[in-house]
Amino acid sequence: MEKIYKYGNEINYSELKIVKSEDRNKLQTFSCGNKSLDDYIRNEIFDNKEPQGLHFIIEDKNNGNVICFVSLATSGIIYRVGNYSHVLPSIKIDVFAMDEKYQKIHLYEESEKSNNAEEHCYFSDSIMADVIMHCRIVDENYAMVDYIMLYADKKAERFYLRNGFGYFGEYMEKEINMEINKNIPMYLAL
Amino acid sequence: MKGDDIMAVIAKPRTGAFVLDDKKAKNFFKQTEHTADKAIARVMVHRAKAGMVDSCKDGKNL
Repeated sequence: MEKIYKYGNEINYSELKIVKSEDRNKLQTFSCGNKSLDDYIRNEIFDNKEPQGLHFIIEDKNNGNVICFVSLATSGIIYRVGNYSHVLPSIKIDVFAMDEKYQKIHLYEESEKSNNAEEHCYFSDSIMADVIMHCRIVDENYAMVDYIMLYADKKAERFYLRNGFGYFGEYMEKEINMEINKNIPMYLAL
Repeated sequence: MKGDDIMAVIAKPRTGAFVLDDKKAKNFFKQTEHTADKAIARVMVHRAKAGMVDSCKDGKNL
């Protein structure tokens, strides 16, 4: 996949925008590299009568490309100790998908040149920070939320660790669901 | 404000944003784990270094 930009700081992008029916055409060229997820984003979200989340896109202001697709939903982490159980109010990132053209782009030159992985920062990290801030706005203005949670694909595990997510603690229960059976439950405290 | 001038920009929307020197920033990072503050702050520091000053004008508009 040919990259349009060398570094993320060259990209002028929009805020998170709710996906509308008229966005269907522009999503037809979106590709995150996962065929089934691409099909879900291009088609199923417009046909699905039982959506799994509220869908957002972030657009490249220079060319109108969809940079990122995000699906968010209210959820909860079940916290169980013996006979005691409690649901920790959370926002679930059901989908976080970057178009391939915008993946693996360092935010700036020094990040790319650094030999220390801890000094690396990618454009996708910057987008994730915007998603986290969006969740914070919900928490502070609309409904209290204590955590962001997600079920990470193994390939994205390092991405989420780099962006502050941690593994579920011993009293946090994973959902039992075939779709996420192989995924890794992770959370971030707001 | 240039990216090089900024030691660290810490985003704490609950208490307002503020700028810390590098030593204090490192202590802050050590004290917090798996929190949005830490995750946002890390990116803000990099955005500042990358010259994306519109994202953090004076450390107040985070």
